[in-house]
Amino acid sequence: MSASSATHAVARAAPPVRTGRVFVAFVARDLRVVFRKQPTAFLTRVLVEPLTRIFVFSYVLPSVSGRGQQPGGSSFSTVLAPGMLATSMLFAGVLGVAMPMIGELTYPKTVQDRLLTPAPVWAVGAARAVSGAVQALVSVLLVLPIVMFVHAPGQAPDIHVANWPLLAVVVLFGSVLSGVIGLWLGTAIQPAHVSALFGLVMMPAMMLGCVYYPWASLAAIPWLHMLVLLNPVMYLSEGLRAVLTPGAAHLPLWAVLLALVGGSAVVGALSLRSFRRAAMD
Amino acid sequence: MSEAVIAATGLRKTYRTRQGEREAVRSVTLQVRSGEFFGLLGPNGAGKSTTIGMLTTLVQPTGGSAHIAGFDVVRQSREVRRRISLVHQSNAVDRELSVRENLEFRGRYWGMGSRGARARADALLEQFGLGDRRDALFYQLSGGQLRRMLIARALVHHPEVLFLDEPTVGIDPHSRAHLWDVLRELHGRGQTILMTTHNLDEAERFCRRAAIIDAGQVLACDTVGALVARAGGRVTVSATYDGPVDLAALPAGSSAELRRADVREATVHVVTEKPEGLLGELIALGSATGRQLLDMTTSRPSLENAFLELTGRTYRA
Repeated sequence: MSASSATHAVARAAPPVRTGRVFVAFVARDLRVVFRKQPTAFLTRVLVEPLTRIFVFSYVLPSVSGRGQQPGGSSFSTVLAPGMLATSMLFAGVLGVAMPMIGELTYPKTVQDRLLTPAPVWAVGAARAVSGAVQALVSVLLVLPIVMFVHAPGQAPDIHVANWPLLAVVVLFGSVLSGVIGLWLGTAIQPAHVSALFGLVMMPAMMLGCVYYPWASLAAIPWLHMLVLLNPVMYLSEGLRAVLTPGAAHLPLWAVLLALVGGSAVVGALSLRSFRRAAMD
Repeated sequence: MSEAVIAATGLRKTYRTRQGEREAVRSVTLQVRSGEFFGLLGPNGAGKSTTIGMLTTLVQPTGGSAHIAGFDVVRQSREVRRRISLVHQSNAVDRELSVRENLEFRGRYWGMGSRGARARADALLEQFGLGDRRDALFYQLSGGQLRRMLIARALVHHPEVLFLDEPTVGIDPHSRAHLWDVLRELHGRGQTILMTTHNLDEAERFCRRAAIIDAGQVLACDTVGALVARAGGRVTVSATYDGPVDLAALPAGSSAELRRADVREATVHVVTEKPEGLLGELIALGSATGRQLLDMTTSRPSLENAFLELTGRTYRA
Protein backbone atom coordinates (compact mmCIF):
# COMPACT_ATOMS: atom_id res chain seq x y z
CA MET A 1 0.00 0.00 0.00
CA SER A 2 1.34 3.40 -0.90
CA ALA A 3 1.44 6.32 1.49
CA SER A 4 -0.68 8.21 -1.02
CA SER A 5 -3.68 5.94 -0.74
CA ALA A 6 -3.40 6.14 3.05
CA THR A 7 -3.44 9.95 2.97
CA HIS A 8 -6.46 9.93 0.72
CA ALA A 9 -8.31 7.38 2.78
CA VAL A 10 -7.86 9.68 5.78
CA ALA A 11 -8.95 12.76 3.86
CA ARG A 12 -12.02 11.15 2.33
CA ALA A 13 -13.17 9.51 5.54
CA ALA A 14 -12.91 12.75 7.53
CA PRO A 15 -16.29 13.76 8.93
CA PRO A 16 -17.85 16.96 7.60
CA VAL A 17 -16.68 20.07 9.44
CA ARG A 18 -19.52 21.70 11.38
CA THR A 19 -19.78 25.47 10.99
CA GLY A 20 -20.57 25.94 14.68
CA ARG A 21 -17.32 24.30 15.65
CA VAL A 22 -15.25 26.45 13.31
CA PHE A 23 -17.12 29.54 14.50
CA VAL A 24 -16.18 28.74 18.10
CA ALA A 25 -12.55 28.32 17.01
CA PHE A 26 -12.61 31.74 15.28
CA VAL A 27 -13.94 33.41 18.43
CA ALA A 28 -11.51 31.46 20.62
CA ARG A 29 -8.63 32.70 18.45
CA ASP A 30 -9.70 36.35 18.84
CA LEU A 31 -10.28 36.07 22.58
CA ARG A 32 -6.95 34.36 23.08
CA VAL A 33 -5.21 37.22 21.28
CA VAL A 34 -7.08 39.94 23.17
CA PHE A 35 -7.21 38.53 26.68
CA ARG A 36 -4.29 36.13 26.92
CA LYS A 37 -1.66 37.47 24.58
CA GLN A 38 -2.29 41.21 24.72
CA PRO A 39 -4.12 41.86 28.03
CA THR A 40 -2.20 45.06 28.72
CA ALA A 41 -3.25 46.55 25.40
CA PHE A 42 -6.88 45.66 26.10
CA LEU A 43 -6.85 47.04 29.65
CA THR A 44 -5.17 50.25 28.54
CA ARG A 45 -7.68 50.70 25.73
CA VAL A 46 -10.66 50.02 27.96
CA LEU A 47 -9.66 51.58 31.30
CA VAL A 48 -7.50 54.66 30.83
CA GLU A 49 -9.95 56.82 28.91
CA PRO A 50 -12.98 56.28 31.22
CA LEU A 51 -10.82 56.51 34.33
CA THR A 52 -9.40 59.92 33.40
CA ARG A 53 -12.77 61.24 32.20
CA ILE A 54 -14.59 60.11 35.34
CA PHE A 55 -11.75 61.39 37.50
CA VAL A 56 -12.06 64.85 35.93
CA PHE A 57 -15.86 65.03 35.88
CA SER A 58 -16.73 63.27 39.12
CA TYR A 59 -13.76 64.17 41.30
CA VAL A 60 -11.71 67.13 40.02
CA LEU A 61 -14.52 69.40 38.81
CA PRO A 62 -16.78 68.99 41.85
CA SER A 63 -13.75 69.49 44.10
CA VAL A 64 -12.53 72.71 42.45
CA SER A 65 -15.94 74.29 41.82
CA GLY A 66 -17.40 73.73 45.29
CA ARG A 67 -19.78 71.03 46.36
CA GLY A 68 -23.27 70.83 45.03
CA GLN A 69 -22.50 73.07 42.04
CA GLN A 70 -22.89 71.72 38.49
CA PRO A 71 -21.35 69.80 36.89
CA GLY A 72 -20.59 68.29 40.30
CA GLY A 73 -23.21 66.95 42.62
CA SER A 74 -24.50 63.44 42.88
CA SER A 75 -27.23 64.21 40.38
CA PHE A 76 -24.52 64.80 37.77
CA SER A 77 -22.56 61.65 38.59
CA THR A 78 -25.83 59.75 38.32
CA VAL A 79 -26.37 61.16 34.82
CA LEU A 80 -22.73 60.53 33.89
CA ALA A 81 -22.44 56.91 35.07
CA PRO A 82 -24.64 55.24 32.40
CA GLY A 83 -23.21 57.52 29.72
CA MET A 84 -19.67 56.50 30.63
CA LEU A 85 -20.58 52.82 30.57
CA ALA A 86 -22.18 53.27 27.15
CA THR A 87 -19.17 55.02 25.60
CA SER A 88 -16.80 52.46 27.11
CA MET A 89 -18.78 49.58 25.63
CA LEU A 90 -18.94 51.15 22.19
CA PHE A 91 -15.29 52.10 22.25
CA ALA A 92 -14.23 48.60 23.28
CA GLY A 93 -16.47 46.83 20.76
CA VAL A 94 -15.92 49.11 17.79
CA LEU A 95 -12.16 49.50 18.18
CA GLY A 96 -11.68 45.87 19.19
CA VAL A 97 -13.15 44.81 15.84
CA ALA A 98 -12.42 47.64 13.42
CA MET A 99 -8.70 48.10 14.04
CA PRO A 100 -7.58 44.47 13.62
CA MET A 101 -10.06 44.02 10.75
CA ILE A 102 -8.55 46.90 8.78
CA GLY A 103 -5.10 45.41 9.36
CA GLU A 104 -6.11 41.91 8.32
CA LEU A 105 -7.79 43.07 5.13
CA THR A 106 -4.76 45.04 3.96
CA TYR A 107 -2.01 43.27 2.00
CA PRO A 108 -0.92 40.67 2.92
CA LYS A 109 -4.53 39.77 3.64
CA THR A 110 -3.92 37.72 6.76
CA VAL A 111 -7.66 37.08 7.09
CA GLN A 112 -7.18 34.60 4.22
CA ASP A 113 -6.13 31.88 6.62
CA ARG A 114 -9.70 31.97 7.93
CA LEU A 115 -11.34 32.49 4.53
CA LEU A 116 -9.74 29.23 3.40
CA THR A 117 -11.37 27.20 6.18
CA PRO A 118 -14.38 25.02 5.43
CA ALA A 119 -16.70 27.59 7.09
CA PRO A 120 -18.90 29.91 5.05
CA VAL A 121 -17.41 33.38 4.45
CA TRP A 122 -20.00 35.17 6.61
CA ALA A 123 -18.93 33.10 9.62
CA VAL A 124 -15.48 34.71 9.57
CA GLY A 125 -16.99 38.22 9.84
CA ALA A 126 -19.73 37.23 12.28
CA ALA A 127 -17.21 35.58 14.62
CA ARG A 128 -15.18 38.78 14.67
CA ALA A 129 -18.30 40.80 15.57
CA VAL A 130 -19.02 38.34 18.38
CA SER A 131 -15.51 38.72 19.76
CA GLY A 132 -16.08 42.50 19.68
CA ALA A 133 -19.30 42.04 21.63
CA VAL A 134 -17.44 39.98 24.25
CA GLN A 135 -14.87 42.77 24.60
CA ALA A 136 -17.69 45.31 25.06
CA LEU A 137 -19.24 43.07 27.72
CA VAL A 138 -15.96 42.74 29.60
CA SER A 139 -15.37 46.47 29.38
CA VAL A 140 -18.68 47.27 31.06
CA LEU A 141 -17.73 44.99 33.94
CA LEU A 142 -14.35 46.71 34.27
CA VAL A 143 -15.64 50.27 34.05
CA LEU A 144 -18.57 49.73 36.42
CA PRO A 145 -16.43 49.82 39.60
CA ILE A 146 -14.76 53.01 38.32
CA VAL A 147 -18.05 54.88 37.90
CA MET A 148 -19.21 53.55 41.28
CA PHE A 149 -16.15 54.42 43.33
CA VAL A 150 -14.27 57.27 41.65
CA HIS A 151 -15.99 60.48 42.76
CA ALA A 152 -15.65 63.41 45.16
CA PRO A 153 -16.73 62.66 48.74
CA GLY A 154 -20.47 62.30 49.12
CA GLN A 155 -21.15 62.38 45.38
CA ALA A 156 -21.60 58.72 44.55
CA PRO A 157 -23.94 58.06 41.61
CA ASP A 158 -27.36 56.83 42.59
CA ILE A 159 -27.28 53.42 40.88
CA HIS A 160 -29.74 50.64 41.64
CA VAL A 161 -30.92 47.90 39.38
CA ALA A 162 -34.66 47.35 39.51
CA ASN A 163 -34.88 44.80 36.72
CA TRP A 164 -31.89 42.49 36.20
CA PRO A 165 -33.17 40.65 33.11
CA LEU A 166 -33.80 44.00 31.43
CA LEU A 167 -30.29 45.13 32.32
CA ALA A 168 -28.96 41.92 30.77
CA VAL A 169 -30.92 42.51 27.54
CA VAL A 170 -29.75 46.14 27.22
CA VAL A 171 -26.10 45.23 27.89
CA LEU A 172 -26.23 42.21 25.60
CA PHE A 173 -27.69 44.04 22.61
CA GLY A 174 -25.52 47.08 23.31
CA SER A 175 -22.50 44.77 23.07
CA VAL A 176 -23.71 43.13 19.88
CA LEU A 177 -24.43 46.54 18.36
CA SER A 178 -20.91 47.76 19.11
CA GLY A 179 -19.42 44.57 17.62
CA VAL A 180 -21.33 44.87 14.34
CA ILE A 181 -20.66 48.61 14.07
CA GLY A 182 -16.97 47.76 14.47
CA LEU A 183 -17.20 45.15 11.71
CA TRP A 184 -18.99 47.57 9.43
CA LEU A 185 -16.47 50.38 9.94
CA GLY A 186 -13.53 47.98 9.78
CA THR A 187 -14.62 46.58 6.41
CA ALA A 188 -15.95 49.76 4.79
CA ILE A 189 -13.09 52.12 5.66
CA GLN A 190 -9.90 52.34 3.63
CA PRO A 191 -6.76 51.99 5.78
CA ALA A 192 -5.73 55.51 4.75
CA HIS A 193 -8.88 56.92 6.35
CA VAL A 194 -8.40 55.42 9.81
CA SER A 195 -7.61 58.78 11.39
CA ALA A 196 -10.86 60.13 9.94
CA LEU A 197 -12.66 57.31 11.73
CA PHE A 198 -11.64 58.87 15.04
CA GLY A 199 -12.00 62.52 14.11
CA LEU A 200 -15.19 62.40 12.08
CA VAL A 201 -17.07 59.40 13.47
CA MET A 202 -15.98 58.30 16.93
CA MET A 203 -15.41 61.70 18.57
CA PRO A 204 -18.69 63.38 17.54
CA ALA A 205 -20.64 60.19 18.31
CA MET A 206 -19.12 60.00 21.80
CA MET A 207 -19.50 63.72 22.57
CA LEU A 208 -23.06 63.91 21.24
CA GLY A 209 -24.23 60.58 22.62
CA CYS A 210 -26.18 62.06 25.55
CA VAL A 211 -23.34 60.99 27.83
CA TYR A 212 -23.29 64.11 30.03
CA TYR A 213 -27.00 64.93 29.99
CA PRO A 214 -30.21 63.00 29.43
CA TRP A 215 -31.81 63.13 26.00
CA ALA A 216 -34.92 64.83 27.44
CA SER A 217 -32.86 67.88 28.44
CA LEU A 218 -31.95 68.45 24.77
CA ALA A 219 -35.54 69.67 24.21
CA ALA A 220 -33.98 73.09 24.74
CA ILE A 221 -32.11 72.66 21.40
CA PRO A 222 -34.75 71.16 19.12
CA TRP A 223 -32.52 70.45 16.09
CA LEU A 224 -29.94 68.64 18.20
CA HIS A 225 -32.75 66.84 20.03
CA MET A 226 -33.75 65.30 16.69
CA LEU A 227 -30.26 64.88 15.22
CA VAL A 228 -28.95 62.69 18.02
CA LEU A 229 -31.74 60.20 17.33
CA LEU A 230 -29.32 58.92 14.65
CA ASN A 231 -26.57 58.27 17.18
CA PRO A 232 -26.32 54.71 18.52
CA VAL A 233 -24.35 55.94 21.55
CA MET A 234 -27.42 57.91 22.62
CA TYR A 235 -29.66 54.82 22.68
CA LEU A 236 -27.16 52.87 24.74
CA SER A 237 -26.64 55.77 27.19
CA GLU A 238 -30.40 56.20 27.59
CA GLY A 239 -30.95 52.45 27.79
CA LEU A 240 -28.44 52.10 30.61
CA ARG A 241 -30.05 55.10 32.32
CA ALA A 242 -33.38 53.32 32.13
CA VAL A 243 -32.05 50.16 33.79
CA LEU A 244 -29.34 51.52 36.16
CA THR A 245 -30.66 54.92 37.28
CA PRO A 246 -34.41 54.64 36.77
CA GLY A 247 -34.88 57.81 38.85
CA ALA A 248 -33.22 59.95 36.15
CA ALA A 249 -35.02 61.06 33.00
CA HIS A 250 -34.56 58.61 30.11
CA LEU A 251 -35.93 57.54 26.74
CA PRO A 252 -38.86 55.10 26.89
CA LEU A 253 -37.57 51.57 27.13
CA TRP A 254 -39.44 50.35 24.04
CA ALA A 255 -37.60 52.93 21.92
CA VAL A 256 -34.26 51.88 23.37
CA LEU A 257 -34.87 48.18 22.77
CA LEU A 258 -36.20 48.80 19.28
CA ALA A 259 -33.07 50.79 18.42
CA LEU A 260 -30.60 48.33 20.00
CA VAL A 261 -32.20 45.13 18.63
CA GLY A 262 -33.23 46.60 15.27
CA GLY A 263 -29.91 48.39 14.93
CA SER A 264 -27.99 45.18 15.66
CA ALA A 265 -29.97 43.35 12.98
CA VAL A 266 -29.70 46.03 10.30
CA VAL A 267 -26.05 46.98 10.90
CA GLY A 268 -25.27 43.26 11.33
CA ALA A 269 -26.61 42.49 7.85
CA LEU A 270 -24.84 45.50 6.33
CA SER A 271 -21.56 44.61 8.01
CA LEU A 272 -21.60 40.99 6.80
CA ARG A 273 -22.23 42.18 3.25
CA SER A 274 -19.45 44.71 3.57
CA PHE A 275 -17.14 42.03 4.99
CA ARG A 276 -17.81 39.72 2.08
CA ARG A 277 -17.07 42.47 -0.38
CA ALA A 278 -13.83 43.44 1.36
CA ALA A 279 -12.64 39.88 1.89
CA MET A 280 -13.29 38.28 -1.50
CA ASP A 281 -11.75 39.32 -4.80
CA MET B 1 -4.90 6.68 -15.34
CA SER B 2 -6.36 7.95 -12.10
CA GLU B 3 -9.09 10.58 -12.09
CA ALA B 4 -8.28 14.30 -12.23
CA VAL B 5 -8.11 15.87 -8.77
CA ILE B 6 -7.93 19.35 -10.27
CA ALA B 7 -9.97 19.98 -13.40
CA ALA B 8 -10.45 23.44 -14.85
CA THR B 9 -12.29 24.20 -18.07
CA GLY B 10 -12.22 27.61 -19.73
CA LEU B 11 -11.69 29.33 -16.38
CA ARG B 12 -11.95 33.10 -16.78
CA LYS B 13 -11.68 36.14 -14.53
CA THR B 14 -12.45 39.70 -15.52
CA TYR B 15 -12.00 42.55 -13.08
CA ARG B 16 -14.07 45.68 -13.50
CA THR B 17 -11.93 48.72 -12.86
CA ARG B 18 -12.46 52.42 -13.39
CA GLN B 19 -10.47 52.15 -16.61
CA GLY B 20 -12.84 49.48 -17.89
CA GLU B 21 -12.59 45.71 -17.82
CA ARG B 22 -9.30 43.99 -17.19
CA GLU B 23 -8.97 40.36 -18.18
CA ALA B 24 -6.71 38.71 -15.60
CA VAL B 25 -7.40 35.18 -16.85
CA ARG B 26 -8.82 34.64 -20.32
CA SER B 27 -9.14 30.89 -20.49
CA VAL B 28 -7.43 28.28 -18.38
CA THR B 29 -8.05 24.60 -19.01
CA LEU B 30 -5.97 22.03 -17.18
CA GLN B 31 -6.16 18.70 -15.41
CA VAL B 32 -4.02 17.42 -12.58
CA ARG B 33 -4.12 13.81 -11.49
CA SER B 34 -3.86 12.45 -7.99
CA GLY B 35 -0.28 12.35 -6.70
CA GLU B 36 1.04 14.63 -9.44
CA PHE B 37 3.49 17.46 -8.87
CA PHE B 38 2.21 19.97 -11.40
CA GLY B 39 3.85 23.26 -12.37
CA LEU B 40 2.04 26.43 -13.38
CA LEU B 41 4.59 28.61 -15.13
CA GLY B 42 4.39 32.08 -16.54
CA PRO B 43 5.85 35.56 -16.25
CA ASN B 44 4.61 38.17 -13.77
CA GLY B 45 1.05 39.19 -14.49
CA ALA B 46 0.37 36.08 -16.58
CA GLY B 47 -2.61 35.16 -14.39
CA LYS B 48 -1.01 32.45 -12.25
CA SER B 49 -2.10 33.84 -8.89
CA THR B 50 -5.61 34.64 -10.11
CA THR B 51 -5.89 31.08 -11.40
CA ILE B 52 -4.80 29.71 -8.04
CA GLY B 53 -7.23 32.12 -6.36
CA MET B 54 -10.12 30.67 -8.37
CA LEU B 55 -9.05 27.06 -7.79
CA THR B 56 -8.87 27.71 -4.03
CA THR B 57 -12.27 29.52 -3.93
CA LEU B 58 -10.78 32.87 -2.90
CA VAL B 59 -11.54 34.48 -6.25
CA GLN B 60 -14.96 34.18 -7.91
CA PRO B 61 -14.55 33.11 -11.56
CA THR B 62 -16.31 35.22 -14.20
CA GLY B 63 -16.69 32.22 -16.48
CA GLY B 64 -15.75 28.59 -17.01
CA SER B 65 -15.70 25.99 -14.29
CA ALA B 66 -13.31 24.17 -11.98
CA HIS B 67 -13.58 21.10 -9.81
CA ILE B 68 -11.37 19.90 -6.99
CA ALA B 69 -11.77 16.21 -6.11
CA GLY B 70 -15.05 16.39 -8.00
CA PHE B 71 -16.47 19.39 -6.11
CA ASP B 72 -17.36 22.64 -7.86
CA VAL B 73 -15.22 25.55 -6.63
CA VAL B 74 -18.17 27.96 -6.74
CA ARG B 75 -21.19 25.92 -5.70
CA GLN B 76 -19.40 23.55 -3.33
CA SER B 77 -16.68 25.88 -2.11
CA ARG B 78 -16.78 24.60 1.47
CA GLU B 79 -16.31 21.01 0.33
CA VAL B 80 -13.39 22.21 -1.77
CA ARG B 81 -11.80 24.16 1.09
CA ARG B 82 -12.04 21.10 3.32
CA ARG B 83 -9.75 19.23 0.95
CA ILE B 84 -7.14 21.81 -0.02
CA SER B 85 -4.41 23.97 1.42
CA LEU B 86 -2.78 27.05 -0.03
CA VAL B 87 0.66 28.35 0.81
CA HIS B 88 0.46 31.88 -0.42
CA GLN B 89 3.41 33.93 -1.63
CA SER B 90 2.42 36.83 0.65
CA ASN B 91 3.14 34.82 3.81
CA ALA B 92 -0.40 35.23 5.12
CA VAL B 93 0.49 34.04 8.60
CA ASP B 94 -1.60 34.96 11.65
CA ARG B 95 0.72 37.60 13.06
CA GLU B 96 -0.75 37.67 16.56
CA LEU B 97 -0.26 33.95 17.12
CA SER B 98 2.90 31.98 17.80
CA VAL B 99 4.19 29.34 15.39
CA ARG B 100 2.56 26.57 17.37
CA GLU B 101 -0.74 28.45 17.76
CA ASN B 102 -0.82 29.08 14.02
CA LEU B 103 -0.81 25.32 13.48
CA GLU B 104 -3.08 24.60 16.42
CA PHE B 105 -5.80 26.97 15.21
CA ARG B 106 -5.42 25.67 11.68
CA GLY B 107 -6.44 22.28 13.06
CA ARG B 108 -9.34 23.74 15.03
CA TYR B 109 -10.60 25.65 12.00
CA TRP B 110 -10.86 22.27 10.28
CA GLY B 111 -12.90 20.83 13.12
CA MET B 112 -10.18 19.18 15.26
CA GLY B 113 -10.43 19.31 19.04
CA SER B 114 -7.92 21.57 20.73
CA ARG B 115 -5.89 18.73 22.24
CA GLY B 116 -5.74 16.85 18.94
CA ALA B 117 -4.83 20.03 17.10
CA ARG B 118 -1.98 20.77 19.51
CA ALA B 119 -0.60 17.24 19.18
CA ARG B 120 -0.75 17.44 15.38
CA ALA B 121 0.95 20.86 15.52
CA ASP B 122 3.80 19.56 17.68
CA ALA B 123 4.33 16.53 15.45
CA LEU B 124 4.51 18.65 12.30
CA LEU B 125 6.82 21.24 13.88
CA GLU B 126 9.19 18.44 14.91
CA GLN B 127 9.06 16.97 11.43
CA PHE B 128 9.81 20.35 9.83
CA GLY B 129 12.69 21.12 12.18
CA LEU B 130 10.82 23.90 13.92
CA GLY B 131 10.36 22.23 17.31
CA ASP B 132 12.54 24.77 19.08
CA ARG B 133 10.76 27.71 17.38
CA ARG B 134 7.25 26.82 18.47
CA ASP B 135 6.78 29.88 20.67
CA ALA B 136 8.28 32.34 18.21
CA LEU B 137 6.20 35.00 16.48
CA PHE B 138 6.37 35.32 12.71
CA TYR B 139 8.85 38.21 12.70
CA GLN B 140 11.30 36.21 14.80
CA LEU B 141 11.63 33.56 12.09
CA SER B 142 14.05 33.60 9.18
CA GLY B 143 12.55 33.65 5.69
CA GLY B 144 13.20 29.94 5.27
CA GLN B 145 11.76 29.01 8.66
CA LEU B 146 8.65 31.04 7.95
CA ARG B 147 8.13 29.28 4.63
CA ARG B 148 8.59 25.88 6.30
CA MET B 149 6.12 26.88 8.98
CA LEU B 150 3.55 27.85 6.34
CA ILE B 151 3.97 24.49 4.60
CA ALA B 152 3.72 22.64 7.92
CA ARG B 153 0.58 24.63 8.72
CA ALA B 154 -0.88 23.78 5.33
CA LEU B 155 -0.54 20.07 6.10
CA VAL B 156 -2.32 20.09 9.48
CA HIS B 157 -5.64 18.89 8.10
CA HIS B 158 -4.21 16.35 5.62
CA PRO B 159 -5.21 18.20 2.43
CA GLU B 160 -5.78 16.20 -0.73
CA VAL B 161 -4.34 19.00 -2.83
CA LEU B 162 -1.59 21.38 -1.80
CA PHE B 163 -1.30 24.68 -3.70
CA LEU B 164 2.07 26.39 -3.50
CA ASP B 165 2.27 29.91 -4.85
CA GLU B 166 5.94 30.77 -5.47
CA PRO B 167 7.20 28.67 -2.55
CA THR B 168 10.87 29.62 -2.81
CA VAL B 169 10.71 33.30 -3.70
CA GLY B 170 12.76 35.55 -1.46
CA ILE B 171 14.63 32.93 0.55
CA ASP B 172 18.34 32.19 0.60
CA PRO B 173 19.87 29.25 -1.35
CA HIS B 174 20.44 27.16 1.79
CA SER B 175 16.81 27.47 2.87
CA ARG B 176 15.71 26.78 -0.66
CA ALA B 177 17.64 23.53 -0.71
CA HIS B 178 16.03 22.58 2.61
CA LEU B 179 12.59 23.45 1.25
CA TRP B 180 13.27 21.37 -1.86
CA ASP B 181 13.96 18.39 0.39
CA VAL B 182 10.63 18.99 2.08
CA LEU B 183 8.80 19.17 -1.25
CA ARG B 184 10.55 16.05 -2.55
CA GLU B 185 9.50 14.14 0.55
CA LEU B 186 5.90 15.34 0.32
CA HIS B 187 5.70 14.34 -3.31
CA GLY B 188 7.27 10.99 -2.48
CA ARG B 189 4.48 10.37 -0.01
CA GLY B 190 1.94 10.89 -2.77
CA GLN B 191 0.84 14.44 -1.99
CA THR B 192 -0.82 16.10 -4.98
CA ILE B 193 0.88 19.47 -5.47
CA LEU B 194 0.20 22.36 -7.82
CA MET B 195 3.04 24.86 -7.73
CA THR B 196 3.57 28.18 -9.42
CA THR B 197 7.17 29.20 -9.73
CA HIS B 198 9.43 31.76 -11.28
CA ASN B 199 12.25 29.30 -11.09
CA LEU B 200 12.24 27.09 -14.18
CA ASP B 201 15.07 25.02 -12.78
CA GLU B 202 12.79 24.29 -9.83
CA ALA B 203 9.97 23.32 -12.17
CA GLU B 204 12.23 20.96 -14.14
CA ARG B 205 13.49 19.48 -10.91
CA PHE B 206 10.07 18.59 -9.50
CA CYS B 207 7.27 18.72 -12.00
CA ARG B 208 6.56 15.89 -14.39
CA ARG B 209 3.92 17.98 -16.10
CA ALA B 210 3.49 21.72 -16.39
CA ALA B 211 1.36 24.38 -18.00
CA ILE B 212 2.89 27.52 -19.42
CA ILE B 213 0.54 30.45 -19.20
CA ASP B 214 0.88 33.95 -20.50
CA ALA B 215 -1.61 36.81 -20.85
CA GLY B 216 -4.21 34.74 -19.02
CA GLN B 217 -4.10 31.76 -21.37
CA VAL B 218 -2.57 28.31 -21.31
CA LEU B 219 -0.05 28.25 -24.15
CA ALA B 220 1.01 24.67 -23.55
CA CYS B 221 0.22 21.96 -21.05
CA ASP B 222 2.31 18.83 -21.28
CA THR B 223 5.03 16.78 -19.66
CA VAL B 224 8.12 18.85 -18.97
CA GLY B 225 10.05 16.61 -21.37
CA ALA B 226 7.58 17.30 -24.18
CA LEU B 227 7.62 21.04 -23.44
CA VAL B 228 11.39 21.04 -23.65
CA ALA B 229 11.24 19.10 -26.92
CA ARG B 230 9.07 21.89 -28.35
CA ALA B 231 12.10 24.12 -28.22
CA GLY B 232 13.18 22.09 -31.24
CA GLY B 233 15.82 20.02 -29.52
CA ARG B 234 18.40 22.74 -30.12
CA VAL B 235 21.36 23.05 -27.79
CA THR B 236 23.90 25.79 -27.31
CA VAL B 237 27.58 24.82 -27.56
CA SER B 238 30.02 27.34 -26.05
CA ALA B 239 33.72 27.13 -26.85
CA THR B 240 36.41 29.21 -25.14
CA TYR B 241 39.90 29.81 -26.61
CA ASP B 242 43.09 31.28 -25.20
CA GLY B 243 42.46 34.49 -27.14
CA PRO B 244 40.01 36.19 -29.57
CA VAL B 245 39.02 34.23 -32.67
CA ASP B 246 37.60 35.38 -35.98
CA LEU B 247 34.92 33.51 -37.97
CA ALA B 248 36.37 34.97 -41.17
CA ALA B 249 39.20 32.47 -40.76
CA LEU B 250 36.79 29.51 -40.99
CA PRO B 251 37.92 26.93 -43.51
CA ALA B 252 35.66 26.32 -46.50
CA GLY B 253 33.03 23.63 -45.91
CA SER B 254 32.39 24.60 -42.29
CA SER B 255 28.84 24.05 -41.08
CA ALA B 256 26.21 26.77 -41.48
CA GLU B 257 25.52 26.80 -37.74
CA LEU B 258 29.12 27.64 -37.00
CA ARG B 259 29.11 30.40 -39.59
CA ARG B 260 26.09 31.96 -37.80
CA ALA B 261 27.76 31.63 -34.38
CA ASP B 262 27.81 34.43 -31.85
CA VAL B 263 31.44 35.46 -31.16
CA ARG B 264 32.31 37.36 -28.01
CA GLU B 265 36.07 37.87 -27.70
CA ALA B 266 37.52 34.46 -26.92
CA THR B 267 34.19 32.65 -26.67
CA VAL B 268 32.01 31.29 -29.46
CA HIS B 269 28.34 30.31 -28.91
CA VAL B 270 26.86 27.97 -31.49
CA VAL B 271 23.18 27.05 -31.56
CA THR B 272 22.72 23.69 -33.23
CA GLU B 273 20.50 20.67 -33.51
CA LYS B 274 23.47 18.37 -34.15
CA PRO B 275 26.25 19.05 -31.64
CA GLU B 276 28.17 15.96 -32.73
CA GLY B 277 30.98 16.77 -35.16
CA LEU B 278 31.17 20.34 -33.96
CA LEU B 279 34.25 19.67 -31.78
CA GLY B 280 36.49 19.03 -34.80
CA GLU B 281 35.28 22.20 -36.49
CA LEU B 282 35.91 24.25 -33.36
CA ILE B 283 39.45 22.95 -33.04
CA ALA B 284 39.97 23.75 -36.73
CA LEU B 285 38.71 27.30 -36.14
CA GLY B 286 41.25 27.65 -33.33
CA SER B 287 44.21 26.49 -35.40
CA ALA B 288 43.12 28.69 -38.34
CA THR B 289 43.44 31.75 -36.08
CA GLY B 290 46.43 30.49 -34.05
CA ARG B 291 44.41 29.87 -30.89
CA GLN B 292 44.03 26.89 -28.69
CA LEU B 293 40.64 25.54 -27.59
CA LEU B 294 40.59 25.60 -23.78
CA ASP B 295 37.05 24.61 -22.87
CA MET B 296 33.78 23.53 -24.42
CA THR B 297 30.35 23.24 -22.77
CA THR B 298 27.01 22.07 -24.09
CA SER B 299 23.77 23.41 -22.57
CA ARG B 300 21.03 20.85 -22.86
CA PRO B 301 17.60 21.96 -24.10
CA SER B 302 15.69 23.42 -21.17
CA LEU B 303 12.30 24.72 -20.14
CA GLU B 304 13.80 28.16 -20.54
CA ASN B 305 14.22 27.50 -24.27
CA ALA B 306 10.67 26.15 -24.43
CA PHE B 307 9.36 29.20 -22.66
CA LEU B 308 11.20 31.50 -25.02
CA GLU B 309 9.87 29.55 -27.98
CA LEU B 310 6.24 29.76 -26.76
CA THR B 311 6.03 33.28 -25.42
CA GLY B 312 8.69 34.99 -27.47
CA ARG B 313 10.35 36.38 -24.38
CA THR B 314 12.71 35.27 -21.68
CA TYR B 315 11.16 33.97 -18.51
CA ARG B 316 12.31 36.67 -16.16
CA ALA B 317 11.36 39.49 -18.49
